[in-house]
Amino acid sequence: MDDIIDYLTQEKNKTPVVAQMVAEKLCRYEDIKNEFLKWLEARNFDFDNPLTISGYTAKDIAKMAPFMDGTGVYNFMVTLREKPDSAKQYIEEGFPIL
Amino acid sequence: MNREIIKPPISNNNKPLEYSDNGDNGYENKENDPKEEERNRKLGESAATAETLDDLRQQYDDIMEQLDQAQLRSSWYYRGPLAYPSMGNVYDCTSVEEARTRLSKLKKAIAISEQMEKLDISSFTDEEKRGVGLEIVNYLRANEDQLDMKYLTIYKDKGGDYDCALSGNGRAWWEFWHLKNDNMSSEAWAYYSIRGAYVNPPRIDEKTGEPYPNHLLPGVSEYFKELSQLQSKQRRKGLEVEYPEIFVNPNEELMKKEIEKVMGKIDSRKIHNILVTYQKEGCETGNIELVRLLSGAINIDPPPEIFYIEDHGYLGQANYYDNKIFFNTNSVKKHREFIDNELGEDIPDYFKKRVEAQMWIGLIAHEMWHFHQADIRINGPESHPLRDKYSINRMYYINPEDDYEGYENQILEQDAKLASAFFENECDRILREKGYIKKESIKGAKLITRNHVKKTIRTLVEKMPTRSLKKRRRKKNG
Repeated sequence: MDDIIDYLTQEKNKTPVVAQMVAEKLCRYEDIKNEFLKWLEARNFDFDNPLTISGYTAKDIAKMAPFMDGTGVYNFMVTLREKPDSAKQYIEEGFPIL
Repeated sequence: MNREIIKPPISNNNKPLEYSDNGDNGYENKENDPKEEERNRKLGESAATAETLDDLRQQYDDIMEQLDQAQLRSSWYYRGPLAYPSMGNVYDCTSVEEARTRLSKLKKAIAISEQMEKLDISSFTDEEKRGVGLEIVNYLRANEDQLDMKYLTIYKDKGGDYDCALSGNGRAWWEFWHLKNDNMSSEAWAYYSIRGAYVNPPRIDEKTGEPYPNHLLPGVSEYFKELSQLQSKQRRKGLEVEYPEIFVNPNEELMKKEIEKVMGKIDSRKIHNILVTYQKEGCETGNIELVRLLSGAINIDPPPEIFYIEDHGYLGQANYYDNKIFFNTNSVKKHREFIDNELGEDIPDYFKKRVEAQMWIGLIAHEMWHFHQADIRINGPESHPLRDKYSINRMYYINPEDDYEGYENQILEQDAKLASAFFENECDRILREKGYIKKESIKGAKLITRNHVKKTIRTLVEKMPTRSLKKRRRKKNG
């Protein structure tokens, strides 16, 4: 969690409060957190046996939502796991940002 | 980097602790450290004897090099002060005196940062943290005039180095720079983003005309009292209490009440006239008139200027401080292509126009509501039930690139979506009354705002006039 908060505050310049909120979600599931940490090191989504949730890998999400980096992608993996219907709706809608 | 661990002194009566002069309590006294003294002397000497700006710039470069060699320049504690140009960077100084002052401040900042580097804060107990926090705050406050470090923060978030980290206004300005350079928002946004963390934030009112909402977070005078009495978690109670209502499950009733109060008073005839403008004169003119109408309803005078930007990251963006509203023309283009491809030749042009107009209406209502939210934050009465929630969300806004679900759920976005849905439903109601739409079971604008492509079509196909209505029109037109 500390590594993730460091990344969010130092590299992404998030305020500590936002960093905490974002990191807490990223760390909710061990498998998602671990792959995020791998991304943090590699800065790409090309992994052997990538984590797949509801049929989507992180690479798939990154392709569909190019505005997201690893933080957004893996947080979305959490959404896919917890609220697959909502997540699929976002995918279908094309992640509109207003 | 090796770090010497120093345990902090604990005050029995919980009073602020002073810097130790004798060093027997485990604290290293920096001023008595021969190496430190030598280094400071060298830096001081070189600054004092410098004759020209070039000399001082050279000294600045030397300091930077020293930091690089010590692998300190990239350290979290250094990043802020060094990034803030008037803290240390002498390259933009126009006088020798100014450059000397900056070098002196930089040196002080480094000394303090080094002191902090030695504290393994994460290993401290809460009481120890409080003692250290107070000590550093007192020290920095005592040296405020020399340091430019008026703005301090003590992070009391759980876990890691940030358990009790502290920085000066250098970091604040660094954040400001970052936001400014990324065009993420205006000056005020940057100030907002830091005010929660900083005990004594920059004068937001002087910069932007926006009053600093002291009632949200304690000012510096209250801070000391609070710090000595409360645990960190309790100090953050304000945010914790509000958290679900702001980020997870905003109160829909509250938001709807506000929307109805503001948008419900708009004259139906004026809305109808704008719908006619969209149909007859096209979207660009319609957009101008709609922005004008909604500005009147939410008391924004003059109405914001509209900008159409190619490949802008968002579909739309509202900038209250610059009074500008931005739209992404690429998204609109894609939308048009979709209409042409999907609807094909069988669909009449007027209907395609309506699909496009409907997208614009939803988009503009959404962005204009963000103007209303900003107006409430800044000019609204303290008793306004949404003011604090808007302000806290503004401080801790979740960007879609970090957490799309979090972005969608936060109150500022949920509220704007409800507002655009309300306004589009008003448009539908007027169209129905005028006989332009037959079916009443329309899912409405929320869908269109959220999905300006597929669902727009799906929704509007339901809204297509019946054949009999078309025939009547043909007859009427001869």
